[in-house]
Amino acid sequence: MKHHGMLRTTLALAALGLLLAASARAGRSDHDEVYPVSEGTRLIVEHTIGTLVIIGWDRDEIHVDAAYDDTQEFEVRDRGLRFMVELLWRHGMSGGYGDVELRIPRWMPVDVTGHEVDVEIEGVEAEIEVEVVGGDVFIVGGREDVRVRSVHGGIEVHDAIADLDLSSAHEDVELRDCTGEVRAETVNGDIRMDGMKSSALDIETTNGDVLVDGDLAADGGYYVSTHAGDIDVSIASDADLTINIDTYHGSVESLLETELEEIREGKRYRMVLGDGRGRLDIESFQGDVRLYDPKVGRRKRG
Amino acid sequence: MENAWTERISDYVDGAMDAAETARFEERMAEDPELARAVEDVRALVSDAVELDGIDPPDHLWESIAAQLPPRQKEAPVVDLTAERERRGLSFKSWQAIAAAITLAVLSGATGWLLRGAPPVPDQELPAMAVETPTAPDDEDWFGTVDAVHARFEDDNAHLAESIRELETTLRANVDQLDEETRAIVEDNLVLIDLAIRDAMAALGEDPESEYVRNHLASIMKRKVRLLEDATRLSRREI
Repeated sequence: MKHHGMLRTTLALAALGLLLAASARAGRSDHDEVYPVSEGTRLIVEHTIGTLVIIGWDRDEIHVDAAYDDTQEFEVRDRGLRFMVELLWRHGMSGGYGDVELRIPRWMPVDVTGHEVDVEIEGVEAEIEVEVVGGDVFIVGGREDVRVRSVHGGIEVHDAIADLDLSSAHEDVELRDCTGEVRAETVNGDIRMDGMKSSALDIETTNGDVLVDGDLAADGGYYVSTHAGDIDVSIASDADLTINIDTYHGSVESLLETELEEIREGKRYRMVLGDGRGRLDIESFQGDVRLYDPKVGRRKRG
Repeated sequence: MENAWTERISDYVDGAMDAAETARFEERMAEDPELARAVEDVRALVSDAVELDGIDPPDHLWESIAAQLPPRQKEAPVVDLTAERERRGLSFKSWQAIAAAITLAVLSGATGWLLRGAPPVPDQELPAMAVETPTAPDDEDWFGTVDAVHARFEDDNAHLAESIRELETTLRANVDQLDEETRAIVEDNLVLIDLAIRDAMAALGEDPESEYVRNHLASIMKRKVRLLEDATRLSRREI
């Protein structure tokens, strides 16, 4: 996944390019307007190609700022509880590029659908749903439910306090300092979770590594699986977890003080920490699994 | 026959139980003829598998698979597959390879034509699988063993296999609606999933009672269903 900083740089360059080009180049249009909205309204954005930035602010207004090619049609519709922003290809046309920046109330739920769109959402304290074909999705914030699907873009979410449902087919999924239940999957990417506080995880990748570094609740239920990747999971020494590990052609290494019991030679392992209330199931068909204490850290692989 | 005992059959047959567990399991077998029959079935299956001559899949099979891997894997250093298989302790027996190939044919008919860019064909005329099928040994037992593995697979995952077939048919009809990049990425990921299905099928052949492998196979198939659903929605312009 492109890094957040790269996305910012890309956006800044795109904005600069637009500023320079807008006055000199025919075929570009702009839209810059502020709309009042009442609480309970939902933002619905549909975008084809370009960038979309949504920033939460402390006003009951939406500031719409867009620049786009004339192959595209831009429309803003206030439908009571649905505030709609659309940047679509004109009938019979395709191509072109558009940038949309929206400032919206922090309380406003957001729905985004797009084709090839890099999406950045910051400071929104409400439900967020993003579904794009390509393009990276970067979110800081989000409450209640955050759902993101990108077929061939990466997904990165920071500081959400929400149940997270994240799916990419071809890129990485990253979470940082999030709190909530998580379902995350990708086929050909890694899944990394740093500073996670969660009572439930359902993490699955086919051809990637998984890192889970965070606070696993004592009575939680966790499932982490990969087919052809390695798995690293941090386990606090005072955790109350029953850990089951299955592999077929992989190896298992524990850097914890508690002994790992080999239930079936080379295939199944178990460890009980504390009263064992919580359950953590780890599966790597042909990768390596490593448990480590977050206070001690991960040793470098051989 | 209680599920908790059936889940331990492979441990019993493999000798992976300690003495106390073995004694409890044998007591239970004495009380439960169905459990005892299941143990005998597993022993017979394992015995058949062990007696078969091991035949590794031909090199060109692996070359064919390697050629279809997406860039992420192509960029990695070339691995000596024979050495790697030895390191992992992986050695396909012929029937396992064929069972896996049959599964690929059943589950992945669409992947081959997607990869080759062949024109859509009616469902009943699915093209040959993307990988070549090894030649079957002239051994009647072999057919029984493959049938057993395949039947188990069908029993456990019939609904998933049916979903995959239906989605592939739908996607096939609309695949031209996908842009080139998305189509390539969907194809790459279908190949990865099919390779994982192949791995899991081979493992199921080696370890038919492994609950983990069975669940893993089902999990990969569900992932394939979700990817096909996403691709189908894309091709119908529903995203």
